[in-house]
Amino acid sequence: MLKKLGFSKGLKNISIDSNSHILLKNTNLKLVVLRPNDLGQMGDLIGQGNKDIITWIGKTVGRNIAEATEQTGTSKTRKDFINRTLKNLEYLGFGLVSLHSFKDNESLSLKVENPLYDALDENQEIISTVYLGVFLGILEHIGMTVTGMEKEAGWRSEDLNHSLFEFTIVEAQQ
Amino acid sequence: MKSLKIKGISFDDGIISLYNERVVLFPPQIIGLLSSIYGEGAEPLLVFLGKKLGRTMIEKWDDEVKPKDLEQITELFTDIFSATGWGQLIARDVSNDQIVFQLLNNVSASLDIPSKFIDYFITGYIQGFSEYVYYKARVEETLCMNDDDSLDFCQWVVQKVEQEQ
Repeated sequence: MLKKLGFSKGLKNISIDSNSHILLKNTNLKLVVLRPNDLGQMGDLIGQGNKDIITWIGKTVGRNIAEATEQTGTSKTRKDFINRTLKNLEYLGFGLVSLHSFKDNESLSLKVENPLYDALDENQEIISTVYLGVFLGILEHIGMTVTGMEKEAGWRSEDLNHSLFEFTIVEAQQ
Repeated sequence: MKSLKIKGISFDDGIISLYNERVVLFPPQIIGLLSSIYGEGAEPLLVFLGKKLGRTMIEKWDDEVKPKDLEQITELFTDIFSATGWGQLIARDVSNDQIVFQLLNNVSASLDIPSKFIDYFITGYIQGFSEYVYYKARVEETLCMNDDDSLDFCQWVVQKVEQEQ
């Protein structure tokens, strides 16, 4: 029926294989379509106060996405790898995610414009916690032990339309 | 391998929209992670979450595409479901009181998490659709490729529940 309905648009860097599985292009990272609301409700069922579990879920997802980035080529530096992984997050619909600042072996910050919580009236903090977990997972994957938090939160302030996550690098494996 | 194309989808500035509803592409492992927290207790939660997604999506697609009858709306549901990464859903039998769905290439079979938890979510997804078209419906997974090596599909039978007068 969809074919009869005419023109369909494609998504950049996203493929569908002959088994109807969605993949990040040139990787084996399988994906499904969910709404931000579904993520918010999953987090809500776990419990708003249970940030550790939501962060852990985000970390697992972040590691998956970092592994997929590895499959698409090599990076000369950690900074390059982080940039490539953030671009993949953009392709998956996480918003415009960029490396805002980077001081090797010291600190870094990541900015999220058009965050997923923009689509929600509730459970916005849960989505922010998912982002934090995803970023921790990506950084952990490349051997960086960090501490971090959401420094600027668009969901908390009407004057902001983005989130900024700041991380202090505790240890970075060579 | 083709580019993913779905009618009604758009991508701009990191935002993916499907008929003006924001969506995100997420690894299905998230379902398994929930199950690792709740164990068997995850089943009603996953059915509940799937049902909300299925109901919202079919309401939106029905409004946008305006299928004419039960067969068309079922075809629309299977087409969109199949384009959203869970596997290839086929309606084998569509009548005014029963629909049989078969899911080929269930995404759960290719993941290293207990597959039944994704099936619980899909049960809810189908339930959301079924209650939209039948108002009251009973959904049961009757065959599962993950339990029976001779099968290459999972099957759900939807039965309309007649309302008491």
